[in-house]
Amino acid sequence: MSVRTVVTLALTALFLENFVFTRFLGVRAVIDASRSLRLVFMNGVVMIVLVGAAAPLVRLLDEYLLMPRGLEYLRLLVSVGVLMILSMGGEELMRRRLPGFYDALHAAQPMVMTNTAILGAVLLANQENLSAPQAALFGIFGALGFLLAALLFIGVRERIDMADCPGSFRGFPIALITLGLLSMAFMGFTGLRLW
Amino acid sequence: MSLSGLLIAALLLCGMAGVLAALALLSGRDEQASARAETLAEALPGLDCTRCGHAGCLAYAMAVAEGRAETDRCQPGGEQSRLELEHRLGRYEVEPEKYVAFVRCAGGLAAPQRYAYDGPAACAAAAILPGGGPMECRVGCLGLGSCARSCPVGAIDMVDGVARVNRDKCNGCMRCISVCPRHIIEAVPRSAAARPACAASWMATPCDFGCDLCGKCVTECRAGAISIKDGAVTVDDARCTGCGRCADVCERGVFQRLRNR
Amino acid sequence: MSAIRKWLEDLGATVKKPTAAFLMSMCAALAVTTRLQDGVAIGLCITVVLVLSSLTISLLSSRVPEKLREVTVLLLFAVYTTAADMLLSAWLPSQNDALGIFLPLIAASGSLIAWVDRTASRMPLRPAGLQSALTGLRMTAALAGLSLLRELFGSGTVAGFPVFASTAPVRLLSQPAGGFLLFGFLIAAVQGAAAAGRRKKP
Repeated sequence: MSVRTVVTLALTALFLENFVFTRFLGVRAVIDASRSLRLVFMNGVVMIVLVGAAAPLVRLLDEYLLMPRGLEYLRLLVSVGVLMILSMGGEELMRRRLPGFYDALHAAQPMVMTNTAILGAVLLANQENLSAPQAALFGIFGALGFLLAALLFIGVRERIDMADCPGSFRGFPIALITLGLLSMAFMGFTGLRLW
Repeated sequence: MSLSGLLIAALLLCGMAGVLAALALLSGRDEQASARAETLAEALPGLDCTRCGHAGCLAYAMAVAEGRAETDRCQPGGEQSRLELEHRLGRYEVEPEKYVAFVRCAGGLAAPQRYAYDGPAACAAAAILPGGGPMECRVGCLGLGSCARSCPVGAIDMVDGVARVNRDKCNGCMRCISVCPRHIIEAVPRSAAARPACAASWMATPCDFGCDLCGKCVTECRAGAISIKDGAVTVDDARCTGCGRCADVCERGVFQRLRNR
Repeated sequence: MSAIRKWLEDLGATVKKPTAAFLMSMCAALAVTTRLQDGVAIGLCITVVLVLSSLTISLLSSRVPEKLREVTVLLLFAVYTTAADMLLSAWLPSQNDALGIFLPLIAASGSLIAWVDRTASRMPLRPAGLQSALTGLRMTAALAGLSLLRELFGSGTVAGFPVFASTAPVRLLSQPAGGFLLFGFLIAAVQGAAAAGRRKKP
């Protein structure tokens, strides 16, 4: 894998096909996490680690266990299962051995299995038949793209909260409109040709 | 669909389900503690300042619920948060003593300002500006009235550009404490006699309205209730007799008498 | 901080209302509402998965220990979503391709899973099935409305049949950005209507 492939993968996952703004994944998680900056980083870190570990694992299982025996229909179940095992196992491990990490990260745990970006990253890596290392990179950079989106969103939301918003727009609607405007900004990246 | 394929599928699914069930059953995660943590977190100011040593208010509440942390670690919440936590944990039979809010600043907009602020009339907006805001003093009241607006009973008035709590109206809901970006609103017991209206310590630059640590109140107090801790004047309510001598002797009028003799 | 709390309180209040609550479970489904048939298809799939999961968990909840319930619900969602995926790919393969990965992503719908975990598991069989069916159909209706608007004004067609042949369509609506904006305005309209309804009541 050359540097060129890595950079292309990174830029694509971060900007051209950003999980939140272009692919529509993890929208709910971005809005929920925007309660505090701490939650945003928690979600981001958990997502990077989880997807970075789960995506290659699922790819390997898919290539060596499911495909040779014609069990492609189990892909979703295997993805969900691997993610759940990693997240629950990781939480237990942190609780017992790394209490500092547990303290910092466990508030993000309920959001893990309901985050469409996490499951989406694993499924997408599978769908595009990436190799295991490529899947790991795709997952990590995609998660970084999610973190970018969440940081942008929380930054704008803090300002909006101080503004005078019409009653029926307060809360979810203005959040979605903000995401729409940010998404429009990211539309500027389409048509970008990397090399 | 071959039989061996189906068998492998069944084995895989059962294996995964088994591992998940084992993880779920053996997990030390206390569901009840999680539920209680939500209730306990309501007793905390919600600032996520991490002064308690935990990663935010919810993490601290979770630690208390699981018995990993003591209840007196919250600094902004102070005594009130400790008593509320104990009350919610069921350890405190009696309703905690009523607390009222107290704004530790007497300067506000009248204090020296570095520049003229023109922006949203929200203290949070002014506080995030470079240098910590338009005021010279980094722990002074910004005077934009976010606390007054957040008060559900209208107990806070902006008097001469500084927030002042009307103790008769205050019901101790602590909402203003969580709103103040400078963290200078304190919960003081209703029975407290006097408090210095200045949050500056030797690290902050006091203005003419603030405490210059002259120490007169410390020497004047017959009961020895006043001392200078961490560079700031603190009052020990247990020793305070309510004589009010500290307020009389304070040259700058920073020491405010909270109740009449 | 109080503004953020107020935001959360608003969110909480609207979640309690059936009118706006189900709209919020639709985030992932928004991606496929560029055409009417896609919106209806994903809505119906969500309904099917929701009903089957609610019925199953309602049956099993007495036998499943408390600690295992969340895991069970998640796995049930995954199982029924796989089933729906396979059925659709067998009967309407083109529709399945159009939905892409958003059909399997029904297994990650947070608010639906939370609802099934907390509410449907405590309901007896008939009410669970009925409630979940109604919720799912309401969502399908909302998705259908949204995708009708997006397709009509975004590409000038309705389910593929050209309607505005000569007028230039608003291409933004076919993009994710347009979806966000339209959805935001839709929820604002619903919240406004709910608030107006509340004001009318003395």
